Amino acid sequence: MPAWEDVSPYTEQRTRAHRFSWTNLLIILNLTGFVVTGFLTKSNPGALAAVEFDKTSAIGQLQLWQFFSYSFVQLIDAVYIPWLILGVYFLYTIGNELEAEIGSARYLTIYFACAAYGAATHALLQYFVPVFVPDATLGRAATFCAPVLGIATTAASTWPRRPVLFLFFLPMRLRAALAGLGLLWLACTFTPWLKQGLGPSVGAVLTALAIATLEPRLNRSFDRTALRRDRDRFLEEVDVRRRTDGILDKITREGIDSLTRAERKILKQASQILNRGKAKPHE
Amino acid sequence: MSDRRAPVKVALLVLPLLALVLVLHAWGDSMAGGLGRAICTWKYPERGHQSQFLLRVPRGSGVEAWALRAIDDFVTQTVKSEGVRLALQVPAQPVTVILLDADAEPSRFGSSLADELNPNEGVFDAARRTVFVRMERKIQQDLVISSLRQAIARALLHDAGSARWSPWLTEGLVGRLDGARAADSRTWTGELPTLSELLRFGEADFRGVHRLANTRGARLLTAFLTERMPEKFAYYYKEEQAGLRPNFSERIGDLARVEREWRDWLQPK
Repeated sequence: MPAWEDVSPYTEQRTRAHRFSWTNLLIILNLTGFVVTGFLTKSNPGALAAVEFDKTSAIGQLQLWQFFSYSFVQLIDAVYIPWLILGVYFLYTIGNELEAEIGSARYLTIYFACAAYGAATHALLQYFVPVFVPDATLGRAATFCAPVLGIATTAASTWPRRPVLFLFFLPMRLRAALAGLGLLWLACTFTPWLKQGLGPSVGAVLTALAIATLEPRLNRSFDRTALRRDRDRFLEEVDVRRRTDGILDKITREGIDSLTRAERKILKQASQILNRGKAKPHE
Repeated sequence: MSDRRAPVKVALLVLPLLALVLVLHAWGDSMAGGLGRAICTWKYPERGHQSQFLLRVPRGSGVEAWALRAIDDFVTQTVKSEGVRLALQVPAQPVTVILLDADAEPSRFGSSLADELNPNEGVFDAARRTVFVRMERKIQQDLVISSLRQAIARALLHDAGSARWSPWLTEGLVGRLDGARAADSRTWTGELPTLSELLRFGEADFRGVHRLANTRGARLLTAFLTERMPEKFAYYYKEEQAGLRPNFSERIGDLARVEREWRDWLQPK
C-alpha cells in the first residue's frame, strides 16, 4: 500500500487554505453556535427554541428561518461532542477542498439545501411518526450534522476513490469511510441522546444523493437541448445559404431591381438568420 | 453551474421544498389526523350490534364475543328491571362502544374525555355518543365488563336526561344500574363526603382526586334513599328528570335528619 504522502500530497497543500473560504466561516459559525447554545440553554431557553427547528413553529407559524438556523445550534451533550469535532474536522479538510473544486456558490447551495431538506424530513417525522408510534415524541432538531452529512455525501460522490484516514489513523477510500461514519451516526441517532438528528440526517443524505444523481442528468438534458438547437440552426443556415445563392446570382446578372417581392423577403430573412448571435457593432 | 442553468436548478431545488412546506402548513395536521383515524379504523374494526350499540375492539383481541354478550345482557336486563321506574329505554340513536387496548390513544377517535382513562376504566362521551373502556395488556374480562356496564349505564341515563340532573344523582344511579351491591360499598372504611357536600358537588368532583370517595358516597346515598324512602326518592327523581331541580330537603327531608339516618344506615350491621 502506498504511503499517505504518496497518494495524497495535494491534500496537505489544499487543506491549509490561506484565502477566504466559506467553509471556514461556516466552521466558525457552528463553533460559535455551540458556545452560544451552551449559554442560552440555561439563561434563555426561549431564544434557543426560536432558532431550533420544530414543525409547530417552523411550519405551523411559518418561521422559515428555522429551516437553516437549527443547523447552527448544537446539542450540549457529551455524546455529541465527538461528532461535533469530527464534523468540524471534516469540513476543514474535505469541505474546503470540495468548495475549491465545485465553487463557493454551488457548495453553499448544497450545504443549505441539505440543511433545509433535513429540516423538512424532521417535520415529516414529527407529523407522521406519532401516527404509527403514539408514544414516540420527536422534539426540536438542533444539529449541524445534517448539512455536514450532505457535504460528505457530495464529496463521496465527487471523489469516491480518494484516500483518507478513517478516524484519523486507518487509510480508506473516501466513499467507504463516509459510508461507515454515516451508518454509525445514523445508528447513534436512534439512541435517546441524539434521536432528534435522525430526520435531518436522513433528509440531508437523500438530498445530496438526489442532487448528485439528478444534476448530471439535468446537465445532459440541457446539453442535448443545446445540441439540438445548434443543429437546427446549422441546418437552417445551410438552407438559407442555398436559397440566397440563387438570388445573389440573379442580382449579379440582372441587378437588384429585378428581384421579386418574395425574393426580397427571403433575403431579409437570410440577413436576420446569418447575423443571429453576432454582437452589435457598438457593443 | 452556467448562468442560464443556475436559475432552473435553484428553482428545482427550492420549489419542492416550498410546496412541501405549504402543503404541511395547510393540511399537515389534518393529514396526520386522517392517517391516524384510518389506522384506528383498521385496528378497531366495527362490529354491528342489534340494540343500537356499535362495538369496536382491537383487531385480533378476541374480545368481541363476550363484550357483545355483556352489552346485550346489561341493556336488556336494565331496561327490563329499571325501565319503567327510571324511564330508561334502549337508545334510539346508535352508541359506539370502543374497547381500547393498553397503548391506544383515545384522541385518535376525536375524544379528549378518554385521555386520562386508567386501565379497566370507562367513560361515556355524550357529545360523540361513544363509550370508551381501556383494557389492560393482559385483558381482565370481569373488570372490563364491569367498566363497560358503568359506562353504558351512563349512556342510558344520559338518554333519560341526566345532563339536567344533579351530578350526585347520576353517579348514584350508575352504581344502582351496574349491579354493584350496596353492602360492598358499606364496608369501605374511608371517609365519605357529608350529605350537603354531595348535593353541592359538580361533575368535576366525581372525576378529580377524591373521585373514589365522592362516587362511593353518591352510590351509598342513592342505595339508602332507594331502600329507606323509595316513594320520596321516586318523586324526587321524577322532578329531577323533568329538569325542575327540586330542593332535596323539601322533597326528601331535613338535611341533618337524613344525614343522621344515612350514617346510621352506613354502620355495619
